[in-house]
Amino acid sequence: MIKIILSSGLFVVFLYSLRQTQLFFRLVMNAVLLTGLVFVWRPDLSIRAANLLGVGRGADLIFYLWTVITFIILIHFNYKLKKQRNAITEIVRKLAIDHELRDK
Amino acid sequence: MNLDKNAIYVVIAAYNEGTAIAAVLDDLRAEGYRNIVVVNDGSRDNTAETVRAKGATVLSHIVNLGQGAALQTGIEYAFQKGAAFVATFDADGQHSAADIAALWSRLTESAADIALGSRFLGKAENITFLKKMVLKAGILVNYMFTGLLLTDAHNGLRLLTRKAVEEIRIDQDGMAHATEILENIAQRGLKFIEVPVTIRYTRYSKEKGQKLSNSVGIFIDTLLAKLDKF
Repeated sequence: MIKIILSSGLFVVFLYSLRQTQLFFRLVMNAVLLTGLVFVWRPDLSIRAANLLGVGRGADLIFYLWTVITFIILIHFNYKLKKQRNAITEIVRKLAIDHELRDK
Repeated sequence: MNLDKNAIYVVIAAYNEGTAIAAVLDDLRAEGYRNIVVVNDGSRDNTAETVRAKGATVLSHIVNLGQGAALQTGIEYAFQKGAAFVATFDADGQHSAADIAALWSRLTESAADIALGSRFLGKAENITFLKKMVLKAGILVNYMFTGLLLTDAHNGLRLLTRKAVEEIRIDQDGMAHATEILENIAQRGLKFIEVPVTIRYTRYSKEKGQKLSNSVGIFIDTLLAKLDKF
């Protein structure tokens, strides 16, 4: 049952990834999703992968990876927010200057 | 070269400075400056009306963006109007209009691109010990980020030539813009000179001014900006 729930969740994220315009991020997301799907249906592989990397348990490996992925996502969102903020600043600035130049 | 005060545009970023801005404008007018541009940064008080009543130019941001964004707006406007020099000046009465002439003299004598006011070469009236220590620490932090060792790395009183205006671009909307300006100077190889000025700490300016804890925010913003460029 849990495998079906987790797989459904991963599928929803996959649908979201289709909306990513940047190929690099789409590929990274799909790679993470595929890995997640494999670990859901073959948890023994997560244990083997963990041991290869010097981590005791598969669940621990997934936790560590997820922490790193979360940081990357946060940095990406910060970048997007900054871009939006810059766009807002440009709009507000143009309105302010154009208004004054028009009045003069 | 004689000082032509009509060639200087004084840019002031103002956010809810209805109480102090009138006296600031009076000070500038008394010194003979006519091209005064106040960027009303989304104020909720009577800042814009006060400035208009004093006959200065008002550019109004419809939302509050921050001092850095407001200064860039004013600087771009001044550039479009053909300013030969642009002075940045605080709205809270900490700066003295008489210092602009001193900045101009040293700027033109040394053929520099930008003159930076320094309270530690000049005077910092009523500065608290803690503020002084934070500003001194800011000098070291600024050196880490820009490679420029100044006597005062966080002074809002500056005079830019037209060339400096073309080269410098403030993208930091908030208070980290001060460090960003210095980064621009370093990266573009602009010639700068530090000039003694007077900073007056009044009760109003201390209450209104930056909290010392903002220094941490400025440090983080500057660091994040560096990471963005990565």
